[in-house]
Amino acid sequence: MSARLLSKEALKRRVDDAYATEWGRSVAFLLRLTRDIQIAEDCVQDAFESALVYWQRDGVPDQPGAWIRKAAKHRFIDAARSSRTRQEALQRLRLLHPPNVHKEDVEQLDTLIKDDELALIFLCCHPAIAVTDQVMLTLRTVAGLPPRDIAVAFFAKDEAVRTRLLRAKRKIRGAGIPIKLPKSDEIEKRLHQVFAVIYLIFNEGYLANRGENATRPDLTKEAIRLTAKLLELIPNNNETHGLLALLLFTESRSPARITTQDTLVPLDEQDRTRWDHDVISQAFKHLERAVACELPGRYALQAAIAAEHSKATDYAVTDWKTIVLLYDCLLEIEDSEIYRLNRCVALSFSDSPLVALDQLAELEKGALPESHHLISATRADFLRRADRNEEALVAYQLAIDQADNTAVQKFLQRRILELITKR
Amino acid sequence: MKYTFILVATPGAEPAYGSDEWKNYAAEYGAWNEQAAKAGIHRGGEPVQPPERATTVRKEGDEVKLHDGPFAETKEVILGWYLVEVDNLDEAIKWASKMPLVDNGFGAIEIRPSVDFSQG
Repeated sequence: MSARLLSKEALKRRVDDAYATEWGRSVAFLLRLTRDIQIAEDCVQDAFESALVYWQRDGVPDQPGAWIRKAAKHRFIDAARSSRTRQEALQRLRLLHPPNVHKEDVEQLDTLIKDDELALIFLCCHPAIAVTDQVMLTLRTVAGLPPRDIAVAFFAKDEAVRTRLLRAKRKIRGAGIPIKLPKSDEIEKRLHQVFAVIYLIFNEGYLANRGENATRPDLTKEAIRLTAKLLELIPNNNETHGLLALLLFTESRSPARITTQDTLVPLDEQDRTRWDHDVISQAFKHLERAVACELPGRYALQAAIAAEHSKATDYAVTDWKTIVLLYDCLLEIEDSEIYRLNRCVALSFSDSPLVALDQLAELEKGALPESHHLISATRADFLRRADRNEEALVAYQLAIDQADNTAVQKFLQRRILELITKR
Repeated sequence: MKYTFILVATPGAEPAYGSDEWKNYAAEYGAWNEQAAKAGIHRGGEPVQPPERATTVRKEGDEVKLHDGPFAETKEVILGWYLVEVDNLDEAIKWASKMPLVDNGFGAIEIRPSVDFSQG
């Protein structure tokens, strides 16, 4: 133990650091005893509050995580011993003495904890829980985001987030959702649900990132952290590497994606020198691992597509032929309108806008209403590039009428202006 | 834990009563029941007659009112219920997925955990 006394700010930082790395792990460990997420969270929360007091007095322990877990465990045991019900136990949670952490505690706890942590992730992403609740529960219980931060991130009311979290925790207890690792034949399927939740968290951060509120938690970073954590817990899974590669490729572009005026810059106009090349090289390492198997999964393939953009020095020299092939592989795994639309775009470059127009017409026949504006905007773009400007103008106007997002509408209006001035 | 399965069919999805397909379908239920009995999870259950023969009882003011028909005006038809006792929801889901109604795509099962009064 380093007995050196820290300033209040330095101590706060050390506790915050411990919180970031140890929260989910500690809740997972406590859950083994409490069998209830809320009580586990309360014990861990109390341990962190005690840490502020004891670490000020005695210095920061060498193993902050083990200290927190032992403190939280003591707190639960003390409370459970003197109480008849969990409710009563909860009210009695008080840590009277700081724990003594021995070397064997650390070793013993750390070996158990990986399975506990993985079980907690699977629990939060259980398919019997509504997807939005899975997302919030994962952010709260695994990543340790306070409910008010989750509310800010989702533009939701604090109270609404708390209600959702409570409802999900009650469902877990009430419906008997098991707190244990899924059976080995179930793991692969359940892992895909975890990927889906992480992907939703990332997208929420990615789409909402307008930079207008610097205090908003960075959900893209949380999603990347969660994926890295998953890779640590289940090493060598190709598709986890694939998801991490995809998130990193996407994240690498964020410095070039938004202007200082908070407007979105499309991929073809981004200043590629501003992409984060350290992040890109990390992404390539994970992509390599992701495709080192017979049948790369959907995240690996999407990452491979993102990689093609990262390889190209500018939009014009992108290897569109490869991208079309990668979309063909993706469509074999999952038929999705957005994949087909993106394949059309790639085809318009690898072949010609006119060929792509035909395919787009096919796609438009059974399209969902929410993709209408995307299809119209894409058609307008193909027509513009085929020098059919009059038709392009009509299509752009249609896309503006169909879109319900002002940023998108502004972008399309700019395209119309460019066309008119070119005439 | 105890779970009640409420079996709900999509109208017209099940084979016609008495047909060869129906006989196979009924045999599948027999097999499910046998497996459940062998696993020791079967705690009860009954098939019920169609919604046309349902009577809904409700009190309005001081008077008990009867309604000829089911209480919910939904398209789905409640076929019956089962009570099973298994370790957790994952087990319950596994058994429900194997039920011929679900397995053949003829309808759905709503899984309701029983209230446990021993838990505070």
